[in-house]
Amino acid sequence: MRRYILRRLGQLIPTLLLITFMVFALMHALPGDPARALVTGGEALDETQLAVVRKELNLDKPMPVQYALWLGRALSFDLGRSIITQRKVADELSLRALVTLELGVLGWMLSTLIAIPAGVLAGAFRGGRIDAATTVFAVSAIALPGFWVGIMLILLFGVHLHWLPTQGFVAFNVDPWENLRHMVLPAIALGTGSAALLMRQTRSALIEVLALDYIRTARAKGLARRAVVLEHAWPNALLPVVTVMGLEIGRMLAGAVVVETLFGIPGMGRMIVQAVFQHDFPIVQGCVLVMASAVLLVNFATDLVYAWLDPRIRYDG
Amino acid sequence: MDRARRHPLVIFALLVIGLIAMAAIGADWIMPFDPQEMDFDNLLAGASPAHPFGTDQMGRDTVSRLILGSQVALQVSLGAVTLGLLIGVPLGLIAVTMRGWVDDIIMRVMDAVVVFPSLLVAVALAAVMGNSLGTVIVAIGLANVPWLARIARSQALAVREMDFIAAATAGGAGPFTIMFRHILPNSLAPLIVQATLGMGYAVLTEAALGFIGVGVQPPTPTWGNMLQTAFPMLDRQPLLSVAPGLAIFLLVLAFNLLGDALRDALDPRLRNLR
Repeated sequence: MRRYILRRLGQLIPTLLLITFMVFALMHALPGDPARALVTGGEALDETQLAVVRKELNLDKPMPVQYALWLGRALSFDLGRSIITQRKVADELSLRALVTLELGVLGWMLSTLIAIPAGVLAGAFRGGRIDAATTVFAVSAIALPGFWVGIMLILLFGVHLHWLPTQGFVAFNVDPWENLRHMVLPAIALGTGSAALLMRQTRSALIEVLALDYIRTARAKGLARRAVVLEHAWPNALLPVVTVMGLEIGRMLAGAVVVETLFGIPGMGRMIVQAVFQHDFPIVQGCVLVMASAVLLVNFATDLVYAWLDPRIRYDG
Repeated sequence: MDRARRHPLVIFALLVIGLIAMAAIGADWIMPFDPQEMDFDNLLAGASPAHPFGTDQMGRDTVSRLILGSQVALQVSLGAVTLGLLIGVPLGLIAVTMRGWVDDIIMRVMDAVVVFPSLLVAVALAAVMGNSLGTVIVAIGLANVPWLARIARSQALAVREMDFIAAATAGGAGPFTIMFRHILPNSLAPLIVQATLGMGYAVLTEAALGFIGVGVQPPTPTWGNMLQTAFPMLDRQPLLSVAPGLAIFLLVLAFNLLGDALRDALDPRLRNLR
């Protein structure tokens, strides 16, 4: 296992460097002088002031040197300052990232708690009513935009029934109950699409395993169907499901951008959208860097879990 | 699901895509009203024979705006997938032809690009290039590249080992002739499946971008920006938020059903799993 981790780390680092380079390059893709786009009031600066900014941000140096210096700062969490609030990007991000993390974890838990039992039932009773119902749900939910599910939830639970709040956010440490009440609908909107994919994956993984010889043996020796499915088939069907659960992080973060905007939740997703409209480029850059790194690291962790669950991967993969 | 039960679903999918494509192409002839024409006697009207899906806060006919919006949905899905194929497939094939360090570099770059969700790429590009149809197509297209390159590469690796490729090599064909004349045509099936599913995903991404305001800008109606302007009116006219969502759902569902059916038809191993 240790050799496997080291080998995967060896692949992770170049990829991480490439990602940081792409985010760095974004700055130079800006139309006009990046020095103007990276400081407050940059549009009004004269040449002498611009020269000071360029020196401060190392924009006067050759590109590879610039990248190395930028990366060094990024690694020590110095991502510049917001053009609008003047505060450090890293400080702004750390506050917002926690909100997005909570939303993501709730959405992910919700989708997992519904999808896996439903997928197992559908696979175990293939062709039955539960199977038909989960298939119809899954096929439909994959084709629905998550934010539109959110709009329909607001219409039902907010506008008509007045059961749940539909806008805003209350921090968990201020009022845990209100926090959860505000997060229920966004978490459902975020989790629906993932639940559908996970359900399909669980179902087909289980059906595939149930067709194997060792399952026939288990049945032949007289084990109950419940024991065959839960004790013999399910642990092996779990493998591909873990991969899907890990890969969902990218989709969840993209979904959070829209869902946070819809429900007025002050997370990273809403922050990047506001920053685009305010031309607050350092914030956009910081958000993209954090989100892409998060996807990469979760995928890496998924690979490790997969190898831990399945020895075949770590010996020959 | 067995093939016999799938058949009607495929017909349904083709019908939906065909109808929406015809509506987009013939929009100028079939729109019942001018989609920009305001009618201040009919603000936020509900369903009526003249306006089956009602009107918006400026009295504009929702059906006509949905029809015009279908043009953007199809332009984005076709444009993004075409761009993804044009960049991704040659990259995958070049990686297989050149092998060694070229293969390593191309695939490592693809590993890096794949961690950027298409919506995030679009938001970042909008910050740099501004909001336009072109930005949306480029962003979703770029996000498609790594998936298509990986599929092209793994298919080409499998096809390269077949006997007829050895025969072509013995006949004196160069590596690039072999790649593009012999290997590519025999690697198309999974690429077509992925492209079809990618079209549905592009429609979803475009809608999300339109909703957050980082996409094709009003007055051009798109299904996404229609939902954005409808949302503040949710308590007064819910129909305005329901209709574009249904249009998105139908088109994405159709692309997904078609993609799944193609995959089953092209890969017999999957048939008994559904």
